[in-house]
Amino acid sequence: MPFPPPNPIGGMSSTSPQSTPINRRQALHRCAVGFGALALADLVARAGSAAPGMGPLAMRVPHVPARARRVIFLFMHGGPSHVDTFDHKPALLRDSGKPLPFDKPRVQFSKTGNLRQSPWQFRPYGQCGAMISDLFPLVGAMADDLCFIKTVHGTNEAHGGALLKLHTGSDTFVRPSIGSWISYGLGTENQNLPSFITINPTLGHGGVGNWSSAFLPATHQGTPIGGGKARDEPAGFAYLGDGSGTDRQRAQLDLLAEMNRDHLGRTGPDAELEARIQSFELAFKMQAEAPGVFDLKGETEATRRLYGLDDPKTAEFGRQCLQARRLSERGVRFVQVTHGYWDQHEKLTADHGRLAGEVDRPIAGLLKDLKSRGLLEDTLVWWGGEFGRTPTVQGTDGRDHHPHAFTMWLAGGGVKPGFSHGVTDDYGFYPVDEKVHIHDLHATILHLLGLEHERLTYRFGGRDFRLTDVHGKVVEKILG
Amino acid sequence: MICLRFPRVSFAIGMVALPLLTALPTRATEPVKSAVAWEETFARRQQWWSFQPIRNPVPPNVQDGGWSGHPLDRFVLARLEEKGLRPAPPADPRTWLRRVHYIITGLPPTRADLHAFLGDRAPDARAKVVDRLLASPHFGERWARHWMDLMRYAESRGHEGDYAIANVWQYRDYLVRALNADVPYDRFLLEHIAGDLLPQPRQDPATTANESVLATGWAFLGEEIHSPVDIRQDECERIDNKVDVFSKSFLGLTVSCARCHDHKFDPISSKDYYALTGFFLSSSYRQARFESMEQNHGVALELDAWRARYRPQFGAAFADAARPGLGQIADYLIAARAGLQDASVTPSNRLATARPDGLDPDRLARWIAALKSAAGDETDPLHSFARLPPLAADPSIDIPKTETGNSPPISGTPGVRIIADFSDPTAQPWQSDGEAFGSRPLQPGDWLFTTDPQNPVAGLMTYGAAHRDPFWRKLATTPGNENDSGQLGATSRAGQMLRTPTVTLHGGRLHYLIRGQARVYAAVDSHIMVEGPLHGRLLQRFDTGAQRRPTWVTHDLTPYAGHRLHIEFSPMGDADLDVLQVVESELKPADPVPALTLPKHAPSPSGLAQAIQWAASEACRHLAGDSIAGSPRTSQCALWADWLLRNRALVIGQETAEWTRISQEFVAGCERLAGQARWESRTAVAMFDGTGVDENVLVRGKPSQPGAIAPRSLPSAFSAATPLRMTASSGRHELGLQLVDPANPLVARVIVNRVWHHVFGRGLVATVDNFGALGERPSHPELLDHLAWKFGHEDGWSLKRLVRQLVLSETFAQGSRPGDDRTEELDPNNVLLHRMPVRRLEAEVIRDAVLAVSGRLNPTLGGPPVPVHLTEFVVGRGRPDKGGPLDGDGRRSLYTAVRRNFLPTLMLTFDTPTPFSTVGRRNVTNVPAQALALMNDPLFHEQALVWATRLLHETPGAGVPERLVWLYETAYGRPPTAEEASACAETLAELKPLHGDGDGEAAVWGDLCHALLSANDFIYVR
Repeated sequence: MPFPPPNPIGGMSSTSPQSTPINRRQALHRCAVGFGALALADLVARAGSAAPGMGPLAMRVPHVPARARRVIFLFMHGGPSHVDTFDHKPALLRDSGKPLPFDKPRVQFSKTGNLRQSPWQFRPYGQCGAMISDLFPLVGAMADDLCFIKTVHGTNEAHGGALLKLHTGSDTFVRPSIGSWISYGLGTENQNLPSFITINPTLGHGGVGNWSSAFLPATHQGTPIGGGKARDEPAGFAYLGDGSGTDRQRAQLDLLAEMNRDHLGRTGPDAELEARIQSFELAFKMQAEAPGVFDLKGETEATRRLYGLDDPKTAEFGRQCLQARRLSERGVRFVQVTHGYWDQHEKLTADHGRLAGEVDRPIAGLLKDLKSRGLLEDTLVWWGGEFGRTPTVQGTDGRDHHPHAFTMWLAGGGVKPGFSHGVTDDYGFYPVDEKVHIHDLHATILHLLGLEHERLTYRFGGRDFRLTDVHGKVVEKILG
Repeated sequence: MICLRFPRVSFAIGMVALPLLTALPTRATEPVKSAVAWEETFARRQQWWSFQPIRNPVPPNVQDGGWSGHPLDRFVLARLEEKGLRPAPPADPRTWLRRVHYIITGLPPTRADLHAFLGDRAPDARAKVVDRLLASPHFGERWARHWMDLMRYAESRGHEGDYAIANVWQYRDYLVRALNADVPYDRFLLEHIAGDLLPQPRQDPATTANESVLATGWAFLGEEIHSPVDIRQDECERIDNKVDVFSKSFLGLTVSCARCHDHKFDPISSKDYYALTGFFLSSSYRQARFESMEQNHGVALELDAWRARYRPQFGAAFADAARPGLGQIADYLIAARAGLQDASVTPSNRLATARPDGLDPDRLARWIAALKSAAGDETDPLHSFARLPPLAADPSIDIPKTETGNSPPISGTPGVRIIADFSDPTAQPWQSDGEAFGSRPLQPGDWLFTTDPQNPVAGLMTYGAAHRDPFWRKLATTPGNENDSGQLGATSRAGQMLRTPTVTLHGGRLHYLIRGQARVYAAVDSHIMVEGPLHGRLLQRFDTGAQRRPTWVTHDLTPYAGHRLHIEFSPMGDADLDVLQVVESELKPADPVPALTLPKHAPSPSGLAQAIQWAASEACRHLAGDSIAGSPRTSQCALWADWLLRNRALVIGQETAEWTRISQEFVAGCERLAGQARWESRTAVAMFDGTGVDENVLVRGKPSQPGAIAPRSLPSAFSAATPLRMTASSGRHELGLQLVDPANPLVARVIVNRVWHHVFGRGLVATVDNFGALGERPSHPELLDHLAWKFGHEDGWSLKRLVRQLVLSETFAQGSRPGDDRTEELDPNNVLLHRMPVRRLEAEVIRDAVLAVSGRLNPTLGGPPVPVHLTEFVVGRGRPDKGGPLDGDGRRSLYTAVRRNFLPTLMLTFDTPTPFSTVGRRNVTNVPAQALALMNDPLFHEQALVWATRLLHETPGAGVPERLVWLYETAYGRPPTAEEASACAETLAELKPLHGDGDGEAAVWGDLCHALLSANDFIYVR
């Protein structure tokens, strides 16, 4: 299945001063635009083939037919409790207060006590009858679109390591983030925007390591937006400029284009130098387009309500989800939205309740919105935290970190809708069937995007690196 | 699945296209079934070109003998002629000058440089330029940055908290100095491996600071994680990173592939990998007092000699003064006992009691006080006597000649494992950082001195121990010197540390026999970033109070049973510290018994008094002699001699004039030495040599599956001919010597190739960090050997001579336009060097050039990093509190802080590598973000205006054409062409009305300057 051509660049009106009569350089500039457009047409014709002028973000052909073209990752930082949300365990209610009838893991983050029932009721949703707790009634209503994986497990007990493992496949040293790998593997559909954007990323627990491109070319690095604080003003990227002096900049760029062509004449034919002449035009357009992406003014009241922008409780995460949709729509490959902090070692009842209240409506809204726009077909939505929480109690109303089995769900992008994969034991402590390691999940996500995890490699320092290192198995059973 | 016809995308000029999304290369992996099979495989792989000895090939004959007489050029030309190609016509002098400036110093030529060079008609004009540039301190700055890419240089530890690596910039400054001093590369490398172990370290002639030790800091420039859950696994990762940097940087090999299995392509076995890890496991981290260590070591030697000289004099003077009173000790004891026991004795009738025995009443009063105190202090030699029952029978006399001494009670006790025993100086190597614990453990009978000029003699050691020498109490770090991050850094331990051998914990309950106050760091699995919820127990403080006897304290490390560790002791404040033993046992050992106990059958008071008098006399006799240390009755004698010296007033009325004279002379000498000591020092990250540890081969890289021992060694591909013979400890010195042995085929080739890469934009071996089978073969193998041979055998490993040779070649002097189109077709990637490549300047060089051109460049060398300029895009945990100025104080980019989690956006945009392992060849990307940076980075706006202001200042009243010449020469080293001049003039005219009336002339020119700084002419070198 070939990809449709990338979004054509354009639609931006030139901001050249209108009063000045056309001069020699402006004529040349038009010529340059013409050259760019020609190059672009050529690229479109050869979509996926080598595009020296477009550099490492050029669109590339996937290994296998792709079911998804982009990803939205709703990351629940801190580790939401699986047994209080999507992994219903009646035995936990029955045996609450009793000791766990089998051994706890050798390595534990801290000591926990006896089994502890969920404070929330579970009820069935949709045709598929998925049992979902009262923390997520609106997401529950979308159950027939969701594909649960109940047996995700990782290796790290602590937030830092678990976050890095989840994002990069390695909990120890600097490796590229999954978003960077995907950008590297597929290029971007929109040269005017970064290919990997992370909204409200967490500042701790690996920090930039979670969206770093490591040894991949720097262009695949995640672009952080909204550095961890709530903000109403449109977020931006570095180096976009403030919009002032655009006409002066136009004059500068006209001169630059001419100078750079002269320079090229002195050096002889050189693809990179040619590309750089174009890149100034691309950059100029990018800085014109990007601010519009973040401007939500054009969204209808209905859409705003759908995401919960009318309620202070849901407005912040709702706005971030809406921005995620707008970015996805414009061809950004990987958008991550982070929400936290789901780390309830105590006060589970109050804080999980509050946190779920902040995200339930925006997530349901995002799913509905994507669906109604036909975007859910080829957009993979991925929900989850860095680990789950212990079915055993910590203190009186807390649960500890639990990387041994926890739930994530996927939606759209070619996964089986209304499906649940993997089973944990009676208490949700260990997987009993169909274990899915983080590496397997990574392999599966890449697969959905048309990338074979064993072939998505990068040679660095004499070794071929992979997102999944030497591990990973595609979870075939969840493919739609 | 669709057929994959995967394109190659070239990221870089002069870089080979990197295959994307392809599986492993065509060469299949070779499964190794057995040891025999491995030996065969090994032998075959060792035939690979890079493992062959370096030859000294004769420069080939060429057809065009007139092109150059330079041997280097003949190798290049011969390859071109083979293909029927011609070198490109030479670059014009301006282009050559700009090129050579950027290559050597990373800064553009000034207009003065330009005009001087153009005006110099001498045949050696180029050589003069090159020599001037090589002599410039900016050479070291430029090439240090290349080296820092290899060493993954950073000033923080990344991960979550991005904790600072204290004082690590000293390593960066070391590099700049060493490169500027043209330290021979073999020496430079030896310093990196074993700079702390060299018999004669390089010293700063002015300050005596130790330069060599600074080089070892590279090992600790990697990431460190705080509170790792699996501390041993974390160590494996850290060591892996060190092995990776070591092998890629110094050997051009990827040894870390062999962590889990024998190398798939190179003659490197898993055993080779673990043999290298042993060197790192055998050395630990420290902050070295590099400024004071050499000077203070010398002072300490003199101090030892000075004390040895005065000790017999003090002894003799004391014995002479004490001898008359020794015979009265028993009488005083009996009288004092009577006085003490008889409640009716008053001060007035005590006089009467004393007089008949001819005893001095004042002295008797002192004896009574001494007994009183001894009764409550079981470490006091008089304790037994003072505690005798009042009515003990008198006649039965038994002189207690064989009381239990203070010998350590532990040896041979079942269930007790001795880790260190400083009471036995031969039990382990003496490993102490700095002079604070002297040069060896003290033994019973060793003299103790104070720093009190009135009373310089403290007494004698009564047991063997590592003893904190009060002479060195004033050691401090220079104000502004940084402490280690995390809990380790709470107190500066630098140069005041004593360590035990490395052992593997059994049960994990450690007990220390100490006296005084100790700060203890259990270096488990070499974990230093102690912070956060886990591992806090590695650091403990102990205080045994004011008592004079050592006691056991317990350090519970049971969670680390089975882990490797050593213990580091350091003193606290001004407090004493004696460290006797470190043992591991389930139960805490009983504290040592006091030296003198009652004999088994109760003696009479007079008998015991006689015995005491006898023992004191014996001790006095020994004090007068040479030494009592080492004599059979050492510990007994030492106790009494110590007691005598501390209680001089009991046997001597008052100090003799002789004693006073000796004291004064002695004190004067000590004060002279104290004046020579360097009390303050800055510190730097460095290795500290420890116990030699040979690692097990970890099966599949898992610490839980240790296999056979891998003795420390260079990979067997090198060391087979000459097995490494370790003398002691880590063996790094031996490793370093073998590494730089001219017989090693890789070291010289790898560095020569790196220099070539930086000069010509592409290595003769393009994969500069990999000379193995997965790397590329050399484009000019004979030329590489020629250069490597000359470098090692003729040019004394001089990097400057190497650079000089390369940049003065005709190959380097070529233009960047090929002579004809055919050449470009036949050698499209310019592998044969038919022209000089066009190269984008590195991120740092672009920024430095902007500063140089604008006139803002601050040429200060070295010093603490300038904080990163913080913007709203610099976010995250560990964000520095204070940001630096936008222009970084005008300092070169080398001096901008390298905080792993807060790397400067501009640097990242232009491909400064993320510092996590060796990067000998940077990515060179070309993305719109770079254009955005050039257009919008506030630094460019600011500096464009600074440059324009400078222009107007330096060219008052000049017309536009003159000013354009000035700008072009400053930025590009050439005047504008007529077309460029008119284009610029047009742009100026266009810009003028776009500026408000309030904007001055500089603002309009500033916009033009900004465009000039963004042009390819500026950021590329031809």
